[in-house]
This record gives sequence, structure tokens and C-alpha cells, in this order.
Amino acid sequence: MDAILEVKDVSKFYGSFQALKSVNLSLKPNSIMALVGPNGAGKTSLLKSILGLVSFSSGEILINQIDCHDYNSRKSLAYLPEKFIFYDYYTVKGTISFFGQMYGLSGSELSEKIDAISSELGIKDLLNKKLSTCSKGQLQRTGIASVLISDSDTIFLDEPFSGLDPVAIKELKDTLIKYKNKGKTIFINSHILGEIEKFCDEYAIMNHGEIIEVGEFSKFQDGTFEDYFYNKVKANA
Amino acid sequence: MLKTLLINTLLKEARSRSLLFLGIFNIIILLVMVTVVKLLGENTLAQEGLSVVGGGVMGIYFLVINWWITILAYLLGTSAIASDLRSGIVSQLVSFPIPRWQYILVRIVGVWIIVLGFYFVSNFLGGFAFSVITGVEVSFGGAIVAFLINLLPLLAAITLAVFLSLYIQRIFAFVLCSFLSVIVQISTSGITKIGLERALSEFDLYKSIGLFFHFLFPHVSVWSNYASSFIFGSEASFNSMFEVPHLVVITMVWIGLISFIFKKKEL
Repeated sequence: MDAILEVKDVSKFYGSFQALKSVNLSLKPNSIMALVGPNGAGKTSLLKSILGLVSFSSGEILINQIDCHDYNSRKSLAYLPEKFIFYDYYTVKGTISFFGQMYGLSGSELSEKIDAISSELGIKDLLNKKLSTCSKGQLQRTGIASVLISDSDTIFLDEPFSGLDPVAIKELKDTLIKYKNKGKTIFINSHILGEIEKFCDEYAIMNHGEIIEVGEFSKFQDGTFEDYFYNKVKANA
Repeated sequence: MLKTLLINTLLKEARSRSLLFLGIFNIIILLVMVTVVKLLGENTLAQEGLSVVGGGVMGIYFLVINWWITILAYLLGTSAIASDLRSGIVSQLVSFPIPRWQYILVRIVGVWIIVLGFYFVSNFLGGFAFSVITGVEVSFGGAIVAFLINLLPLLAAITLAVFLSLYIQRIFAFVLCSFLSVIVQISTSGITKIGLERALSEFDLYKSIGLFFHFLFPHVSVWSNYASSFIFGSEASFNSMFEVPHLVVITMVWIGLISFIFKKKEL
């Protein structure tokens, strides 16, 4: 089966600093991949390159065989940034609705999806609340709902557990597994190794702008990935 | 998708403090005008004289609106995209499956609609309210022509403000827009005075600077002055054979330039 995402020899410079060094990566359909690495490893630069938010110096990124600079490549993906920010005068419902409409939903289909996703993420009671009055966790869940309503095949989440309490983290993990079982492909950029190990299929360890290893979580027993990651990064320091 | 983004732009800009401030200012001016005309009517003037004074006062009101509508276009233009960049919302918006130039265009058009809406309401609702309260018949002919003349120049003003706001802080972009507006007016009147042919043939540093501003920037003040002349029925020199195609072309060029720069921008 063709990869959903193919990153081929991508390099990126910020002035003289090389943020990405010939990065190669591919994402299998219907899987959850975690991109992990210490701060400054180049994870956000890679994610932003994939989404066409920043340009890269050399290489190629294909999403469903479409070049990432072509806006059509984004038809099949949705993105949640690390800090979900939206206009604070919008309500939670208005925000999710805006995202739904931007992905072509309307009428009863949109209403039904808002209803279903808000129930799934436990934010049904918040629908009429303005974003300006939402807590960090509530905002993050609104962001996740806004992304999931798109019904995109591939979902990119940058630090999705940031700001969530343990209950919300558990609910989000369950939701992501459910979406994977529905045939979605999920790409997560996260620091929280303990959480991603439990539900992701694959990992890519990034350090100093390079992908130093890609593998499957199935080879680790519970809790051992954290030590493995630490040793790998230390060895690559 | 574009409709959703346009509605989002209208909701965003309608909350602008500049719009609220100018709206309140308009109401204050109208209240002062109504009070003055009513006092004159009650104490000194006969109905005939009152109509003359009322018409004159309303002309000044239309003139003031005509003048600061450009200021509003600059103010809203400088925040249209800059506020999305500053808040970080822009990366969310451009990750939707739309080309970046469409995002830019929708934001510019959204601001244009808000500015025109404000212009329309200020002129015509204001004039109507004045007429009802004072009983003075208001002639809207000049204001309608001025409104129509200003349609495209306001789009050009917004475009220029959007461009500058990509590089410098909002307040400085606004000041620079106003400054450029004056410079362009000076260049244009200088070139009109000596004639374009002479300006091009007798080339020196000052003339080349003048020609640079004359050709590459929209003549917003020239259009605004021309529009104002219809309010009081006065004469204004206006070379429509040059100004109309220049405005159309230069607006398209600036929109194209913004789209090109924004396409390359790292977000």
C-alpha cells in the first residue's frame, strides 16, 4: 500500500543553522506514528515543512502522492498546533463549526458531527462557552474536536496532550485509537513518551535535525521505550 | 469554504476598536450638527435660511466622512492579516486546503466590505437621521457620487496597508500609509503641473523620485479629493484617462505582490 506521507531527503536551514538534515520518513496508512525527540531536535520544523507552513532547502515531501506545496495535498489532512489559538469571541461550538465548514461540512451533517464529537471529547456542556472563558485544557479539547470534525484521512497533532488532565488524556487516547480503527492515519509530535508508547504503532526518534531511528512500539514491553529513547538520544549527542 | 472565511473576516473586523471609535465619533458629530441646526431654527433663522445652513452643515459632514474613510481603510488594512500573524492563528488558517492567495484576497475583500458598509451607513443613515430630526431636506446626490468614486481607491488603500503591515508594526504601517498618501499626492500634483512628457524627458533625481511614487503607488488622496469635489459641486483637476487604468492596474499589482510574498512567508 502507498505511504500516506513520504519525506525524501529534506533539509532545512535557518540562516546558517541546519534544522533538518536529509530527513527521510514515511507514514503507513491506518497507523499512529509518534515523532519523538528532545527540544530543538527539529520536530516542529519537520511538521511545519510537511504542512507547507515553512519552505525547505532541498528534498521533497509528498502527501498522498501530492507535493506538500500544492494546497490540494492538505485536502486529506488536518492539523492541530501545539497551542490551539482561535478568535476568543467565538464559542466552542462556533469554533468547531468554523473548522467543519472549512472542510466542506454544512447543515444537518455539520450539526450531527458537532454533537457526536463534543460528546466523544466530553465538551458538550461547553458548546456555548466563549473561548475567552475556556481553560487551557478546554481550549485544547476544542482544538482536538475542531481537527477531528474534518474527517480527514490523516491527522497531524503537535503535542496534543499538552494542558490536558489525566482524565482528558485517557479520553483523547481512546478517541485516537477509535479514529485509527475507523481507518484514519495519525501523526503525533509529543514529548510525553509514557503516553504515546501505550497506543502508537510506530515511532521516529529525532535528534539534531536527523531521524536517528524508526521502529515499532510492539518490540518494547510496557515502560521500556523511555529508557531506550534516553539511551539512543544520549548516544547521538 | 471561502464564504466561511469571509464571514470570519467580517466578524473579526466588525469588532475593530477603530470602527467603534469612528462610529461613536460620527454620532457625536451628528448630534452636534443636529443641536446647532435646531438652535438656529428655534431662535434665528427662517425655514429657507435653515435649509441653506442645514445643507451646508451636511455637506461638511459628508466631506469629513469622505476624508476619514481612507483613514479607516488604512487602520483596518493594517490589522487584517497582521493580527492573524501576531496571534499565530494564521498557521491554522493556511493549513486548510486553500491557496494562500485566496486567504489574502478574502481578508482584503472582507475589510473592504466593512469599510464600504461603514461609509454607506455613516453617509446615508446619518443623513437620513439628520433630515428626520431637523426637518431639513438633505441632498444625497454628491455623497452618492463620492461613494461610488471611492469604491476602488478604498480597496487600493486597504491593499497598501496590508502590504506594509507584513513588514512593520501596525501603528508604523498606519503612519507610513498616511505619509505615503501625502507624498503620492505631492508627486502627482507636481507631475501634473509640469506634464508627464516633460517629467520623463527632463530626468533628474527629484523627478525620478516623483515618478516612482506617481507610478507605483495608488493615488488615494487624488481620488478622495475628486470625490469630495462632488459633495460641494466644486472643480477638481482629475485626469480620468490616466487615473482609472492606473488605479486598476496598480491595485492588481499590489494584491499580486502581497500574494507572492505571503506565499513565500514562513509561518
